[in-house]
Amino acid sequence: MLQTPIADAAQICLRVRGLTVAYAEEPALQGISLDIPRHQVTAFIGPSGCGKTTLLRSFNRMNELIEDARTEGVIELEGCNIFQAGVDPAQLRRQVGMVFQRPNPFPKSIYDNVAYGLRIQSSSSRAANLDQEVESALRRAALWDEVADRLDAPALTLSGGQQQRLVIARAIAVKPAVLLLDEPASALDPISTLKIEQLIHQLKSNYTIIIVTHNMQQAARVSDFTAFLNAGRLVEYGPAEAVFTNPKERQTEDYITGRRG
Amino acid sequence: MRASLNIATLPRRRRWIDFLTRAVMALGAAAVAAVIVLMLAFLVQVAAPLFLPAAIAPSTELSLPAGHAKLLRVHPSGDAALRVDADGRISIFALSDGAQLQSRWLDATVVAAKPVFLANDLHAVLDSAQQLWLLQTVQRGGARRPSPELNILFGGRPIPVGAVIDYDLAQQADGTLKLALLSPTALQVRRLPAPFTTVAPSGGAQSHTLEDGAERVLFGPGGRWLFTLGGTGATVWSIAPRVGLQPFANTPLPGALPLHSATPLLGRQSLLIAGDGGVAQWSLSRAGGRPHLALVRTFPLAAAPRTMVAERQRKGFVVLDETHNLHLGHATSGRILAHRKGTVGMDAALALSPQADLLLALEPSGKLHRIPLLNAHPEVSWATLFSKVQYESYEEPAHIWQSAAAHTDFEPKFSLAPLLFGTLKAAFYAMLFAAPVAVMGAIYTACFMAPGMRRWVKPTIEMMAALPTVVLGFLAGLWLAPLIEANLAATAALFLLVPGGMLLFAGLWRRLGENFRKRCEGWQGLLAVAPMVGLAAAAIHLAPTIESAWFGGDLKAWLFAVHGIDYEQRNALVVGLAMGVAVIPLIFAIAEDAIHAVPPHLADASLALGATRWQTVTRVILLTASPGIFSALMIGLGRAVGETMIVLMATGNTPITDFSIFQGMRTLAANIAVELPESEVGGTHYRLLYLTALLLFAMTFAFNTAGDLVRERLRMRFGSL
Ligand SMILES: Nc1ncnc2c1ncn2[C@@H]1O[C@H](COP(=O)(O)OP(=O)(O)O)[C@@H](O)[C@H]1O
Ligand SMILES: [Mg+2]
Repeated sequence: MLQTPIADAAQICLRVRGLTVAYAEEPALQGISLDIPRHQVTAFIGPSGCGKTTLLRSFNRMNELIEDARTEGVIELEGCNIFQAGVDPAQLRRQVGMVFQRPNPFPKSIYDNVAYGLRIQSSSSRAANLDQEVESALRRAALWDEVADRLDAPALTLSGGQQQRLVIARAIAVKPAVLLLDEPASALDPISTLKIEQLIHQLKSNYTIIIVTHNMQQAARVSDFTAFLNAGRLVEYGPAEAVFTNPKERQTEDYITGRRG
Repeated sequence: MRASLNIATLPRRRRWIDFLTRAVMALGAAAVAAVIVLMLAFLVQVAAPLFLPAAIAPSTELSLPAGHAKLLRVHPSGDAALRVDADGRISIFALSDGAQLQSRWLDATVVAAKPVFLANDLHAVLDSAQQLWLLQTVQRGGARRPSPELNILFGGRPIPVGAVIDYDLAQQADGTLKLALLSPTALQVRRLPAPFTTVAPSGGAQSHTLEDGAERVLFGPGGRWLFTLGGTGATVWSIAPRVGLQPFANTPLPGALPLHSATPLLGRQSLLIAGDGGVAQWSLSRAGGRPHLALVRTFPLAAAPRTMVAERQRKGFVVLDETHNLHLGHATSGRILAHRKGTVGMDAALALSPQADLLLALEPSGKLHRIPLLNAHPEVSWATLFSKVQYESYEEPAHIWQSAAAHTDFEPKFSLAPLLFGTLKAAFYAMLFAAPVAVMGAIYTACFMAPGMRRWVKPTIEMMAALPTVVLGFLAGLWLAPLIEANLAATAALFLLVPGGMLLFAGLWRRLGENFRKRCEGWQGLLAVAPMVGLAAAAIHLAPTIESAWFGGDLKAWLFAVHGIDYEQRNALVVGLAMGVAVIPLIFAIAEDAIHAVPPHLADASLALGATRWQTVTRVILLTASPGIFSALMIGLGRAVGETMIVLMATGNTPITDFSIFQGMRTLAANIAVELPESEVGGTHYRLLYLTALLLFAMTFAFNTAGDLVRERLRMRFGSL
């Protein structure tokens, strides 16, 4: 079942076809097919364990790192199958950045965290304007004002909300095309959550953003398109207002009105 | 009905269990701490007396018959003393109450009396009739009161010696005697038969003319040398059987002429010569090819020395100066250890008990001072333990550990420097081998190895830690050491070819098909075994060819000939390998745990930013694990420092300070194991071994503490847990 709310094929950034992922022969995703529009925010919602994270991690091939994970199907990034031979996962991940559910800054300074992705690319020309790039990433992540005077402080001294914005800054410093956010606000207080949501709004113009969230209001607030997954299957996918105000599927309605889950 | 909330007390059972766990834990911790403190206290208690200051205790006096004693000497049993007076009376008295036990008169007055060198109970008395009487004091066993016997040897007959200024006697190993006679114009050495015969003394004599005005003659070490002193200086004479009586160079004795008094120290390698400013130690030196007396050190005193007496079992001495002050000194440690202000008359004769714990001073009035000396460990001072010391018959000051020798009159050399050096050297070479292997192995196992393989590899390596070190030491000393010695070239080739070759293989590996590589992902370690074995075989096979092509067929001989590198069979290489094998499992296990414990979300973060596996490992995982890796290395080092069995069996245990990988060493731990069983309980050597144990304890403690501190700092910087 292919659901695509996007009429214009030129707008498609990621195209997923028949994606099946299994952990140790236990399927976590089954036959997912969907299109993700460029420079829009797409939200994945669904009950715990339905496969949202798995789907997200498929976009940057992070599932490969799990020993017994098997993936079938096709994901095309700007028309190019990311699973085909010759695609270097490291290169792919520079294009598809990811922010994890739990903030995971490196045990290094704030500056070194943001500069990490740039440094490992090891082109010497980058070193010259590293300071600028770090600053601009921190500014775009709305963290600059809070940390400008203590860039050398350990990142682990930041608060949870600041850490989450730091790892977003770290991810966007390498200028990916796609940004994957896995429940970026699940562990945060309302004010930090608000900041992250504002941030997503700002980033939208430059990045294709996919966000996983548990929070219906949040999904409704930040996303342009929403996909509802359940038990490893894509149940419904469409423009956010449509999914939230007028869900086509019974399961979706039950879930968003809280009758299930 | 409403259930009442009970938040005030825990249920009894839980409280009880809570209390019990806490009590058991506290008890365990306290017991561990107590054991460590007790151990430390015991070590300190045994070692501390080494540093007690020496003292000359107040004297107790006895009244003896008046008379000018020419010789006062305590009998080896320590309870009676021999006294030879100028008026010809020879007596033996009990030390406890001064009671006279034996007494005889010579027909003439006594000019001089002295003990015979290298004999226990022989004394030679020169009378005014120019004859020499040989006295023997024999202690009869079994008696409650000292009951010495006084014999005049050679059938009670004296030996006529003619007009002499001075004389000396030494007993040879076969019981015969050598008699040196100094007259104004000649030096003569006579051989006398063993004194217990009734044969009238006669025998060969050697003599040499003399014109430097010498006043004293003394036998030197082993009775094979002679020293003459006075006149223009000091001369060393050889009396080797074939060479005859031969003088070597004459050394001036600045500040000591005209000669006042001179006393040989134990073993007679050194003489104490009184001078203007105090006492000087002169030793027989062969530096420069010609044996001569060389000034070793001086003991400055405020007043001119008057009488000296040397200890019989150590290199210690007592000086009585002209202001009636007593000084207790020790040659090797170069110190005057204790003083005591004027209680003893200037003309008193001095004697020391065999153990040097009692000083006798007999004044001509008959007043006998009995002065206890508290001086158990004069050899030990911080300077003798850690600085270079000028030992007898060494050309220059040196760090030497030599606690025992075949003869009893040697100078103990208690420098801890060679042992500390050996300990650190062994640990260094072990770590040189073990640290890279263990840490790299840990990195590979934790980061790259397939989980299936890791499940086998990790426990296997950890099991190696259970290998008894005595087995490792045994293998290293008896199997590996000769093997390496016989195949030195092959060993060197192995060390170069295997790692180098593996790098080459790693390069080739990248050229293999990606599919094949992917399938082997995580199992490369297993695949690497084949080329490794191949390379090792190649190295062993090629070694003889290389050896004959470049090293003249024998690498060992080549090393010695071209670079002067000496090869000892049991050397630092063998120890490094064996001890490396002992510490690798330890370092590996801790480091692997630390690396494996790095939260996977950090690696994920790095990989998600487009880092390669290798970048992730080097820039994130190792950094985060660095506190753990560091403490693994520190624990390994602590273990290597304290390791005993391997160094004991795989080194030659020679306490040398040579950093060469082909030389052995002696470590603190091995030294304790070797020497403790044969050291006298409570003696200086015994206590010193405890001090080294304390030092070892301190060293491992310091390494562990330093490791902990650094790890804490690293953890604060890089820790993420
Ligand atoms: N590493 C893994 N190994 C095995 N099973 C996993 C693993 N990660 C996720 N799963 C399983 O896959 C399913 C989907 O998980 P996930 O994608 O994390 O769900 P969500 O993010 O929607 O909560 C769950 O049933 C989960 O148990
Ligand atoms: Mg999830």
